[in-house]
Amino acid sequence: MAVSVPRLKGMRWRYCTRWDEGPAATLGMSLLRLGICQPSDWSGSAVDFVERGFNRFCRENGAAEAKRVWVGELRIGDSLFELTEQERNQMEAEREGATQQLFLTGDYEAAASIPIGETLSRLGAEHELLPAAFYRVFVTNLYKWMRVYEYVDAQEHAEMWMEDLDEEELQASVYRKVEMEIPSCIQKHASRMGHKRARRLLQEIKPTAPLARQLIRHVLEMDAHGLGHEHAWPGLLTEKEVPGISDWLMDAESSRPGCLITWYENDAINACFDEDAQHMGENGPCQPNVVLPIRLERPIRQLDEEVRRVFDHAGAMLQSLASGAKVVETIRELYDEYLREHRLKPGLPVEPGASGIWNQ
Amino acid sequence: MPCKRVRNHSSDEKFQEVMSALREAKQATVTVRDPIMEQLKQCPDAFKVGEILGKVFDSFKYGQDEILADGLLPPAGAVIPPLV
Repeated sequence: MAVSVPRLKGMRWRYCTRWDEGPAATLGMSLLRLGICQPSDWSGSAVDFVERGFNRFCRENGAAEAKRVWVGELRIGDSLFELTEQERNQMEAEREGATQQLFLTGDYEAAASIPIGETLSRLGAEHELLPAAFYRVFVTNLYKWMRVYEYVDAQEHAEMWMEDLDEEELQASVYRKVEMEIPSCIQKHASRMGHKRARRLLQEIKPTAPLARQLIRHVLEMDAHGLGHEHAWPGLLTEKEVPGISDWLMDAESSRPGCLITWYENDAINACFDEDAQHMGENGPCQPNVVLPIRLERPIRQLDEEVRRVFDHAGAMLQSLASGAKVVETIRELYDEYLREHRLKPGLPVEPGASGIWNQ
Repeated sequence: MPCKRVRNHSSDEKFQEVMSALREAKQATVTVRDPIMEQLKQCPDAFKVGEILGKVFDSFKYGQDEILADGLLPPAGAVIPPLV
């Protein structure tokens, strides 16, 4: 007698406990009513149903384009942070019945490197105010979806460490360079460049160089996708929305940055970031960059409104980051070109250094 | 003028079918205590086996370990002679 191995095609790859199925079923019904999930997504599991609808939603909103630059994930779960199997088991054991709350969280596995100095120089050749306007709109929009590590963070880091240095150490330290390396176009205009003014300038100024026009088009696209959305930091959550959030926030550290904006790679900002990054997450879990709660116990209409709002936010985030990825790719191209022209080694890694990749 | 979204009969039926299956899945969580879960709660280490298998299956699914997959599983539909 021979044994036949069944064909695996068409089988679900994941089978979940009833405890996962319940909350997923409530969310699934809402997603079906909203048209985000389709009846054809049904394979016999509510978790699978939600996953299929969510994956399609992410694809339709530019997840693949965004992923070219931003290494991270958007996920739906019943916890604010990842749990080990044992921690999850303990949580389930303590919980009475199924969870009544899910979270859509967004986080980054690494800080995307954005060496923006050469881009600012090119934009400055077109118009004096263009670099500061571009920088403002770009960074403001990144801040909607992630913590950004930029020269302001490096300044804070440097100031803190310079307090303890004597004159001789100060002269030799990299901290002094943080201030010195800020391009004059940013030094002069950034503090007076509000977001609205910057956007207006970007709409009015018509650069001659095609790459500059392309950069402006993509950054304005990014801005349009993010319009009306604010950063959903965990710190904005209230006790009413998420009981116990205050205690959790007290124990947690700030989010890890989703990007690192330097003037040039290995500059003083990069050095400060490397020092900061070494200690991130040492004193507790890092907060996710984005958290949106979904309260499942709400009446149907309110639940659907909440789910719609959460998915609108996620959609805007993906579309904005997809446009942002095009901006970053152009910035990296310009940086590579700059390296070639200056007879430096081109193709230096635009990935972050070892300290910029978060240990999971 | 915005047009009203109309579902035809069969798609509406399918919609209701899935909605009802989801309602059942939700209800099952509320009323049924899963005996396997109850046992696993007593012995969390038993999850380890499942976790390891889950990782192996995930690596098949995402195709990161095709060589490993080839080595572990016979091709789908293969007929394996019995062990004597």
